[in-house]
Amino acid sequence: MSKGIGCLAVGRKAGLGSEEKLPVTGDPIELGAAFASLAAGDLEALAVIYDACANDLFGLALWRTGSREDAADAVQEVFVRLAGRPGHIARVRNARAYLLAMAHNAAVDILKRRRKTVEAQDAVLEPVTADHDGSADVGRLSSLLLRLPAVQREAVWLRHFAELSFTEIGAATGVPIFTAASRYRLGLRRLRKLLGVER
Amino acid sequence: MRRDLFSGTRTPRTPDDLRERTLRAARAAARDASAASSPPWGFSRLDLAWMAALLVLVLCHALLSLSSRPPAAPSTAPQANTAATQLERELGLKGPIVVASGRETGKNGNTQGELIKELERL
Repeated sequence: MSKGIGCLAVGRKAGLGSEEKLPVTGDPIELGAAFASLAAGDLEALAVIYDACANDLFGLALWRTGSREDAADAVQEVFVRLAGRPGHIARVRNARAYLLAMAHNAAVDILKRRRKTVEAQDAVLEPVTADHDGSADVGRLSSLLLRLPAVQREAVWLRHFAELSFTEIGAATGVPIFTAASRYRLGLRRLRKLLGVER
Repeated sequence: MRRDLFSGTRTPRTPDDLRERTLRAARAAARDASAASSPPWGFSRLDLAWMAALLVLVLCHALLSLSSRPPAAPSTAPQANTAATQLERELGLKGPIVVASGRETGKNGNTQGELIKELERL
């Protein structure tokens, strides 16, 4: 794994302790360099990009689909598409936003293709450490998250875990900024209500 | 608020086997794309499509030009000249017949051939 553009970075906005890490796509310059290498035909860059962003892409797809299997398929689809059109990625300015948008599109495509009548219920959260005291709470929070509409859940993930602005969330999911912000706020409000902490 | 909700949590990691599976599929896709977009002779499929379209266009143009051209009418001018000269000699005429050669002449727009026929009837 390339540590230079590792996917894990200390969460800034969430105000977490230094030992707690959030998945935040790494150094945009390094990621941009990996994109340039791939565009030039260097397939080794795929591994660098994967190591930098796969967890982020998996997380986004998991929160959108609610299924680990679908999320894994979405990640694979992102990389297949990425490798299949190197000419396109040569013109990409923001590699991180581009990848997240691809993951969103892949997840949506997979959901459309499978047309599931019953939503998957895989855990979308896990404790940072195995001996975390609040494992039960994490499990409950995860199950409550799955009761949110997928678009709201996705917006919450993009805002909280990927630390995107509403402008970036809108760009990644193909909706106006106002819609992205509304989805996030509605999702959080609903989650708080489900948790019983709504004022 | 976000800290309260999500502190101590993270998104599940990717499955262990996903990396190898994904990279293998991506490399295969890259090879396929490369093979499809650059044939050995160096033209892309788009280039070939353009060339084929241009070739068809040129061929169609050539075919239409050939088929729409009217059949070449046999020229009567040399025969007419010969006949006119003969008539000049036989009838002792000069001028008008020879001048009319090769163009429409007369009040009714008679052609030279018709004029000769008229003269022959005399």
